[in-house]
Amino acid sequence: MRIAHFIHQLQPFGSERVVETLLRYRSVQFRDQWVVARADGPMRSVYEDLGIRVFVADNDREALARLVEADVINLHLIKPEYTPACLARKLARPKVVTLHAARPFPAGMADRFIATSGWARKVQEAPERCTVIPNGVDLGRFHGRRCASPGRRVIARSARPEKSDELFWLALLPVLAEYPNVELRLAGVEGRSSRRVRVTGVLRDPVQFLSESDIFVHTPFPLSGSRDLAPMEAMAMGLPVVVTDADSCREAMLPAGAAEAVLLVPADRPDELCEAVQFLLEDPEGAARIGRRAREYAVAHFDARTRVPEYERVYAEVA
Amino acid sequence: MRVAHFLHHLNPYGTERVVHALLKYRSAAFNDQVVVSQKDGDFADEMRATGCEVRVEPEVKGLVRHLSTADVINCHALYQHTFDDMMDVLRRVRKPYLFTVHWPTRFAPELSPVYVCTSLSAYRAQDPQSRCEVVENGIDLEPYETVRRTSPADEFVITRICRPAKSDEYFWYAMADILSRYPQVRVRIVGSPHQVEGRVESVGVQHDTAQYLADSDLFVYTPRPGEGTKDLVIMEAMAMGVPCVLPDVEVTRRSAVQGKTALMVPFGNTEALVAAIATLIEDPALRARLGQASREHALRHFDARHRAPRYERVYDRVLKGAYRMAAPRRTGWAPNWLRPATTY
Repeated sequence: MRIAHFIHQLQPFGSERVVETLLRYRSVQFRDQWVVARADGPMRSVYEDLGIRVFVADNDREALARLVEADVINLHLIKPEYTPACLARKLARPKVVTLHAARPFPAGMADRFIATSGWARKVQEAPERCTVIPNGVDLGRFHGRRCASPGRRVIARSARPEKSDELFWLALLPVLAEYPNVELRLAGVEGRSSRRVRVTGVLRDPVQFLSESDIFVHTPFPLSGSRDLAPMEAMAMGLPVVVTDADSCREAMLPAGAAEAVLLVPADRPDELCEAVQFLLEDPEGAARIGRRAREYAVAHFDARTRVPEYERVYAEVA
Repeated sequence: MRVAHFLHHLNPYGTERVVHALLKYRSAAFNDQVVVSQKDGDFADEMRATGCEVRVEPEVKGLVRHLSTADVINCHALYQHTFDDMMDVLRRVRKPYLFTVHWPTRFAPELSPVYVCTSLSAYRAQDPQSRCEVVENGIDLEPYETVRRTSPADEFVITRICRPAKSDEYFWYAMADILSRYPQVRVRIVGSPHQVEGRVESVGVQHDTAQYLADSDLFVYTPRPGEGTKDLVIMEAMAMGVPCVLPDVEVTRRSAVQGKTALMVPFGNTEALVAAIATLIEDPALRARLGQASREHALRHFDARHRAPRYERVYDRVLKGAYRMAAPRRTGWAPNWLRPATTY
C-alpha cells in the first residue's frame, strides 16, 4: 500500500518528527511511502536517509499531482487553514488527517482523523471519527546515556520562544542570579547568547543537547499544542524534568508525576517552578533518582514504535 | 453628534487607552460618546469615569442595537479577525463608520471610507494610502505630573511594561547577565498574567502604570521589527523622565531619539543590550540627562489632547460623506479554512 504524507514544511519541529518515526518504523506492507511538503527544511535529508522520496511542491497543483498517486493520503496539520484549498476539496483519495494541535477541524475534511492526544480528540466536532494515537518518543535515538559537564550545572529548554510561557523566565532568572555555576541552554531559539544564557538554534537532533544537560524545564502556554514531545524526550534521556501543568503536557505528565518520574508544578506559579528547580540543584541525588525513574517511565509508556502499527491499521481501514 | 467606539474588549491595553484619551479630551460638540464592546475588561470603569456610556454586549444583536444609536462609529481594530467580526456587525447597523488601525495590518481599502492610522507603520501597511488619515498616538500627560518615587533609593529598578508577547525573548538573556553582575538591581515586570515577588518581580496587569514608572531607574523593552504601532508605554516612560534602553526598530524610532532621550541598540543584539543597560547603571549623570531630555520631549510631542480634535474632524467628514468608498473587490469572500495556506 502506498502512503503519501502531506506536511506544510520540513523543519525539525513536532509534527515533522512524528512523521519521521512513522517512516523509520514502517512495516514491510507499508514500505512505499513518500512526503510532499510546501516548504523545504532540514528534515528533508532525514527522510531521504530513511529511503523516503521527498517532494517540495511550489504550488498546490504540484502537491496535488504528487499526492493523488497514493492509496492513502495522511495530512499532518496544526490548523485546518493550513490545508491548501485545492487539497481540501479535490483529493479523490482516502484521506487521514493527523491532528497535531488541539483545535476543532471541519468534520468533512477527511475520512478519518488521528488525534495525537485525547485532548485533541475531545475538541473535534465528530470525535467518534477520531482515533487517538498519542505521540511517543523514539527510544532507539533517545538512549538515556548522558555526559554532563563537571563543575557546571546546565538547565535546558527545548521550545520555540512563542511556545514557552514567560513564567519560565520569572522562575529561572532568580535561579541564575543565585547559582553562578548554572548555565541556561535553549534549543529551538535563533538569536544571540548572553554570558548566562546559551542559545543553540533549532536543532535537527536534540539527543546530544539533552545528553549534556542536567535539568530540563518545560513551560508551554495553556491551550496550545497537543502532546508535546520535548518533555517526553528529556525523560527518555534520563533527565529530571520540571514541567508545568499545561494542557499539552497534562495527559502524559500527570500520571508520570504521580509515579514520581517528573516534577509537575501549577501553570500559574512561577515561585513553585523556581522552588522545584532549586530542589533539583540542591539535591543531586534526588535529581538523579527522578532522572532514573523518568527513563524507566518513558521506556514503559512513551515508545513511539508501538504507535506505528496503529497508524497503519487506520490506513488499511480507510483504504 | 453621537459617536460610538466599537472595541473588541475592555482590557487596559494600548487601544483601550487611546480610546480613553479620546473620551477624556472630547470637545463639547462631541460630548455624547459611547463605548460598545463585545467583551468586558478591567478598564471599563476608567472609561465610565470620563462620563461616557460603556456597553458590553457579547451577542451580535445587542451590539447592533447599541451601535445603531450612534451617528458615526469608530471601529478600533488590530488584526484581520477582529476586523472581520466588526464588519459582520457593521453590515447590519448601516450607519457611517471608520476604522482606526492600531497595528501594522493591511485592511481591505474598499471596506472603510477612511482608515485613521495611529502610527506611520500602520499607515505604511495600507494600500492605497490615499484612504488614510494619520493621527499618531499620544498619551494623557496628566498622570505623569504629580506621581513621585516611593521605592528605596539604594535599589536600582529596571522596569518593563507590556504584554509578554510584545517583547522579544532576548530581553531575558540580557537580564540574566545584568542580575548576575549587579546585586542592587531588581527587575519589575508589569503586564504579565503571572505574579511573583523577589528580585524578579511580576505585578500582573495594571491599569495605572505611572507609579511603577516613577519607581523605576530604567525602562527596558524589546519590541520586534514590523510589530506594534506607536507604543504608548515608551512615551509614558519618557513622560515620567525614565531613561529607556530600546531596540532600534520602527516603533521605537518614532518616539525615542538615540543618544538624546534613549540608548538604542540593534534588534536582537544581546551583548549590545547588556552593554547599554550596564552603561546606564554605572553612569547616574547620563541617566539624569536622558531622563530630563525624555520628559521635555514627551511634553512637547506626545500630548493626547491635540489628537482628539483631529479624530473629531474625521468624524465630521465621515458624516458629511467627504470620504468615498472604493470599488468592491472582484474576488469573493471565503471562509478562513478555505483560504490558501501561507505559513505555519
